[in-house]
Amino acid sequence: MSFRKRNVDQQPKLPAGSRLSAYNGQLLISTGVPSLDDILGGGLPVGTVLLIKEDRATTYAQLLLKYFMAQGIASGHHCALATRDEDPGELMHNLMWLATTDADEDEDHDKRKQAQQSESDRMKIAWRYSHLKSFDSSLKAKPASPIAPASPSSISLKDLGKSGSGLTKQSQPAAGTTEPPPQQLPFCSMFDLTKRIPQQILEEASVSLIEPPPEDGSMDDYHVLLESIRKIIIEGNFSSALPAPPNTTRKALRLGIHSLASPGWQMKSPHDLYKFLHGLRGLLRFSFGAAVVTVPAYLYDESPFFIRRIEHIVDAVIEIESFAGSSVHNDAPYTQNYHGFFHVHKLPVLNSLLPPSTKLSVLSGGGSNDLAFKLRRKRFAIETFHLPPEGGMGVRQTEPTPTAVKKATVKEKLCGSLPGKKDLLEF
Amino acid sequence: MASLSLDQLLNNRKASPFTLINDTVNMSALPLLVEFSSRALESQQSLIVVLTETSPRQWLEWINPTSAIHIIDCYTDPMGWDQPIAPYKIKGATVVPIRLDDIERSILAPVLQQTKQSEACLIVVDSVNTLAMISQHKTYQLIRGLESLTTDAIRLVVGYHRDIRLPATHGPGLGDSLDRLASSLVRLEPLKERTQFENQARLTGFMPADSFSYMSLMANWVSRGGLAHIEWRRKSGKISYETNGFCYNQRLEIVPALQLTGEIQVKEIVEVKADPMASLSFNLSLTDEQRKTKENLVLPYMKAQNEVQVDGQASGTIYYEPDAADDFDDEDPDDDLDI
Repeated sequence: MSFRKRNVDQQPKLPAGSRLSAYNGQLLISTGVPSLDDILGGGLPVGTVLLIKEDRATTYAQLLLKYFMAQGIASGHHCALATRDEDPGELMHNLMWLATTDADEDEDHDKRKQAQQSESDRMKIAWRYSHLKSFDSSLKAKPASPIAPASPSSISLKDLGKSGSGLTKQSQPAAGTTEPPPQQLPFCSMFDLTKRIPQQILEEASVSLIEPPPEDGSMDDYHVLLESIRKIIIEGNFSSALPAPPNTTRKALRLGIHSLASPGWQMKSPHDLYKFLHGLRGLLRFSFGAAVVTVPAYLYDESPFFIRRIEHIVDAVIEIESFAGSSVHNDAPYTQNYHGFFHVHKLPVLNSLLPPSTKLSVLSGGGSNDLAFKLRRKRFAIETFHLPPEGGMGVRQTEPTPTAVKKATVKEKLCGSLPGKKDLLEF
Repeated sequence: MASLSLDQLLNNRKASPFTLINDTVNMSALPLLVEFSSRALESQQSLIVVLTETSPRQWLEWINPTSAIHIIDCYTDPMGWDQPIAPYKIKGATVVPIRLDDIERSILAPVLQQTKQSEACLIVVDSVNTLAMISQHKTYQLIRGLESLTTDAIRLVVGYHRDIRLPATHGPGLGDSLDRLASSLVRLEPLKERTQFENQARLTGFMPADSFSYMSLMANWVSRGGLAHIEWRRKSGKISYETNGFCYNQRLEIVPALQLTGEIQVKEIVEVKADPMASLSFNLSLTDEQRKTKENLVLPYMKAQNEVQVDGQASGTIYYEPDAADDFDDEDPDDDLDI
């Protein structure tokens, strides 16, 4: 009996909506944006905190957080949201939902395809090159995902709006419920920004909204938040340190915090925030959860060490700098194609020296590419940033510009020419 | 003439729920606040004013008092040192002196009550700095509360002195936090002085650096003019940056900035792209027939192109088609060797 056949049932199953990294076998969950998943090296590793430094005057960071939450609902994860600047219920109601029609519906992709297929534009002389892959500065969108049937485990959002440190109650999934096998749900679903999440799906999803407690003058907002998160993790069986009761399927936890360290959060000293983030990272490392936190870092330009220290505590840092938010970039010619820069400051590295994305990422090219993002009508995409040719795409210079011509004629003097008189030998 | 952003803001032509005016000691926001109020009254809106640095009597001298004005007076006696004064009316305008026991409740509650009484109104807060000296966090919460009251019909205009440094607290400064809440920001600046140095600069090419002074000759000289730098964050997501000038001429008038500064703007010459084919002396274009024959022309390798697409097999075989000049001789050329 030296061989024992491994039963598929005895192997630990991955939670739905997650996969193992191709590089080092870590458990990854999707952020909802395929290009961001690619930059992170396949997805966001479970147990890490992703910090998004917000953009000034626009709300692209909030959009990324919404993608994260929507992906969680689509994959059947438990979502927890905390915010002080907006109403968390309102934020959840405005999430985007899955695209129902297949394939890429972007306008420029359609035009390109049409152009290729029309006979007169087909390459006749260099026809062997038509089989080559065209240079892509962006990731192709995957085909639309099937809509996941709603899982019976229900959370009612009727407890919304309760004052006091209200955590909505969560009912345990009933034993013996049929959930769709994880293989049917794609890792990263394709979302359509013009669609809103259906009310029914939102009600049946497992969501916790962390409401801000009433003002009691204690000024300890971060401590209260950390305790709420700890409670969610322990009660929801997300902690890997505590054994789960038998016959419960583990789900992954997605924690989203919008505008942490904004003026709405009170703290006695900066150390409150450092302690919170340190505690959060400790909690998440021993749980099946990942967090995405957005911070309005531009408010802290006067004390940059504050943001630096936060960047060191978390696992991954990305920054969104929109062109609209700065008067310098607002009218520049490259703003037609892109809406802002996308900076990657730190990538998640767990138990390794190099981040996986150096080998695996298409977009970031090992960290050497400049990245920019574009918000199309139906989706948000991150692409490599290329400056357009100088003077714009339509200008083709066959003569030097008039000022250049003038300078040339002024400076050019042949040896036989007298000032003011044109030399007969000049041509 | 395209209408100027400041004009649009004053007339409420396009929506801006919360306008923040950042002023300095060199150019006060008061003329602009008075202009906002007068124009709102002219368009039949009611006015709710929270005064912290201006006396109500002075305010009512600038704006003709009507019954549509409601003044919340935090200027007269905010700390409650004197005997309490009951609300009174000046020519129809109501003045309610209050004490600032709790900033949020003392100011927010009366404002909320007033907004319910009229459909369209403008809420003006004279200056937030006095409140910020009591508590910065509570001031932020107050402004956030006032901003949550804004709708299409209810607007908010707040003045803030940008050059006063408030004591540092942990967290972002009040100025930056208010900037984040606002939907349009207006930063005021006085005109630069025209001094004799300018003529000298034109003659000699030497520009002296501006020397530091707390107040310049042009400070608060509104009849001469001032500049307003506007950042307007519209609902569509687009942000526009513009600089307008204003000057006082019985009423505050909004003029383009260049009219006041007198700078000559170099216009960028927009080149019209000329068709390169038009200037040639020979004809390069194709007629339809010529285009058809061009497309029907059989190029070399076209057959191979179609074959490759059809077969899809590994192309290792050599395709040879004998030419007219090739002669196929089936005989072995070694046959006539006699060895």
